[in-house]
Amino acid sequence: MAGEIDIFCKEPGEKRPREKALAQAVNSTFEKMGFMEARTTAGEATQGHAITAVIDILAPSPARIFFSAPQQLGWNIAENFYGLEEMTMEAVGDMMKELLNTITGSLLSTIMPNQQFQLSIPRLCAETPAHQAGSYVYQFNIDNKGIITIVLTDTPS
Amino acid sequence: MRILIVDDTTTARLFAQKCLANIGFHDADFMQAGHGIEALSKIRACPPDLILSDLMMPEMDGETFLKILKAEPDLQDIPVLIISSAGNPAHRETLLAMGALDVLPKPFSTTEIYELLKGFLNEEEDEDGWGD
Repeated sequence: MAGEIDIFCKEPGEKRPREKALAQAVNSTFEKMGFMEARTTAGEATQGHAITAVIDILAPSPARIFFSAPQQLGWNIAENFYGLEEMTMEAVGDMMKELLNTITGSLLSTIMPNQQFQLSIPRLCAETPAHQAGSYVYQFNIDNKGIITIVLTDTPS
Repeated sequence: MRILIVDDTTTARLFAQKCLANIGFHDADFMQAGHGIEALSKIRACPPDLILSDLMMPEMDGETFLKILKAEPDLQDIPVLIISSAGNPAHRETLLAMGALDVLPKPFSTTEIYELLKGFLNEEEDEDGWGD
């Protein structure tokens, strides 16, 4: 990525780029939209079926962000957001996309306050990528109901 | 009062509607559209008193939608509040110059949207105030 802007600001040897800004974006989004608390955690996410959304950062430099939640946690968050007791899988997926869109926009507005950025429309995908070079994994405990996972990758694959 | 909410995700539309109801627009008639083209069609058929619109949407984005709306003499006076996760100060100025009422970044709280829209509550003639 020589000559391009590294939005995640990875210094040599730094393993957790932009962690503070991401935590702020996640906290703010869950608090304002769902009245839920999100705390950074190193805990293990629940195994089993997860719902995953992905968004591409198209400019100023390409990157991709994955946002994943165990299915049950996704349902719990959606119930909070919608205030409805009856939920559909489509509604949960829709909420995951909107959350990712909001978190990503909030993150980029914080780290690039005076720069235009361009995002793709978020979409659902089968799973988060396996841990690889150039990717960074963050986890947040949501109201002690479960753990969400956010993966930043600097090159869309 | 008739309010149109334009956003491509159901979550965002429901969240905005819930916030508006909480701050005093509980008697409003809410309309919804998933993108700019659908919004323009609904507005021409039944003009709302207030529009809340996202920026990043398929088919027609919020900026194009705003530009077309403000070019139509019969519709250009309808206030449009832009709600977006993809904003920055320079873009905000552009949208305001195009005629947007204001630009509210996502995520937003009930208090933040109340501050921007409290003037419209008089038109709603709501005596209960918000937060009840």
